[in-house]
Amino acid sequence: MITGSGDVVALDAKMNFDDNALFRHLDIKEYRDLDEEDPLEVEASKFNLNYIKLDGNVGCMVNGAGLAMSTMDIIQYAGGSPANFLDVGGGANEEQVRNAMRIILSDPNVKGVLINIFGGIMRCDIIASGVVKAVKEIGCTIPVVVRLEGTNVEEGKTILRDSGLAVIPADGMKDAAEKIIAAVAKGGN
Amino acid sequence: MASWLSTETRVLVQGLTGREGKFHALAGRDYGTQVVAGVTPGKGGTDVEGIPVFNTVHEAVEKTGANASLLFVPPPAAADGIMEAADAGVALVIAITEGIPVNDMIRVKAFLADRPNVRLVGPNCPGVIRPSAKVKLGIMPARIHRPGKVGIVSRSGTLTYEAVGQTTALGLGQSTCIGIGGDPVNGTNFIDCLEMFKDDPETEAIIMIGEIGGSAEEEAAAWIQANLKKPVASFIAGRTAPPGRRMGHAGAIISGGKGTATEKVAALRAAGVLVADSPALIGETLLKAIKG
Repeated sequence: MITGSGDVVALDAKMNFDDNALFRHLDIKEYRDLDEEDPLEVEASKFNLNYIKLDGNVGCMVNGAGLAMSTMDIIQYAGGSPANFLDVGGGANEEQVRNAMRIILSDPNVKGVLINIFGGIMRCDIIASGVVKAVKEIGCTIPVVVRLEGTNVEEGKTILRDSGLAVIPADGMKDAAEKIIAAVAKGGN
Repeated sequence: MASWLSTETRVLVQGLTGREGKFHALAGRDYGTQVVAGVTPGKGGTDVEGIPVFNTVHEAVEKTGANASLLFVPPPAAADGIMEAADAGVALVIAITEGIPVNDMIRVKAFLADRPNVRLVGPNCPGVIRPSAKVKLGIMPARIHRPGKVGIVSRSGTLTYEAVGQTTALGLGQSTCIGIGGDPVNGTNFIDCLEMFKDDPETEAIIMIGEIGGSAEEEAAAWIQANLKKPVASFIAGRTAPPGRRMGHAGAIISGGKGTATEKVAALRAAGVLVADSPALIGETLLKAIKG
């Protein structure tokens, strides 16, 4: 704002810090106020998971930011509504995957889970064993559709098959989105 | 100008002795890539499955004639690693590392501005692959690729694999696939790749995959309209992304109402690019673009 006497006055300021550089600025990291953040997002950040809570009812676990966004997009395109964005990242381990599943399932709005993995740096067998452990541990009564493709895909599929869990396998993104939406609709009746 | 990769590409891996560096260096070698050296400061003189390790990039280049680098160095030291490779005269540096501070990348860009012969791809990217030459510098699963005629460029890794999988299933195959990465400050942009594809005799059609954030897709759309005759299909991720949230990639954010998928799709369609409404339709959309 410019005052009558010609002075410039700033009325507001917004600042963004680069998360990637916080390791060099521990003083700035101290400013983080966890009470201002969604509790599930805070929980996810403890395990270095990229999780953003949304309003829908289909939980998603995906590797890679672009694919995770597209998975949300295709859920909506197929007539559903995504409950979250979750990118488990490239170097995720079994423990992170297990926690990712736990966090998705702790959102009461979630009526079904779509796991969409196209493994490059991420290996399908790691995802599969993390999911199996989480589901066995927590107990999961809602439908889970899993689409696995890429690095170590056969090992991943074998782990899921041998687990005895009632996960629904899918072939491709379209099939996966349609299957989870159908399963959620059926569960709601 | 043809593909940046050829059978003459000799790769050194910065961070070869780390878990991911080793896994993907060996996967690249198994695919047919000449992986000639590794660099890890302090581990010079050792080897990883027969690949000699050096303390510096300069030494690796001098001893092995490496002309490309694949970089897995952790974020705090990654920018220095890129500049070291550029300084050693490596013509192509592919930075896989995610999480490099923006300020570091600005330093890298200034450093590279004085070295026009060095091309940086990434960071925060899956790398580059050319199936016909059996050269893979990156973390993509080789198995899904087939030699063919589609050039693919994308800001997302796994979404690139999706497009690769679909073009393989349709029998089109790929010429060169480039992940330019999800960071706001990167080395190679869409237009650099489109220029290469334009002149690359192997590339007959192009898939460009964008996402929310920034204006790279809009700039590419303008360039396509003015310069490109080859058919182009596109997909933009993030139509359902909430504004103001960073969607996994540092650069994927709708900020101040700018950088939405809607704007990008509109710009591309106005430039004559066919844009797929669903990520499952990328391959089919390209087929339509090819048929005109």
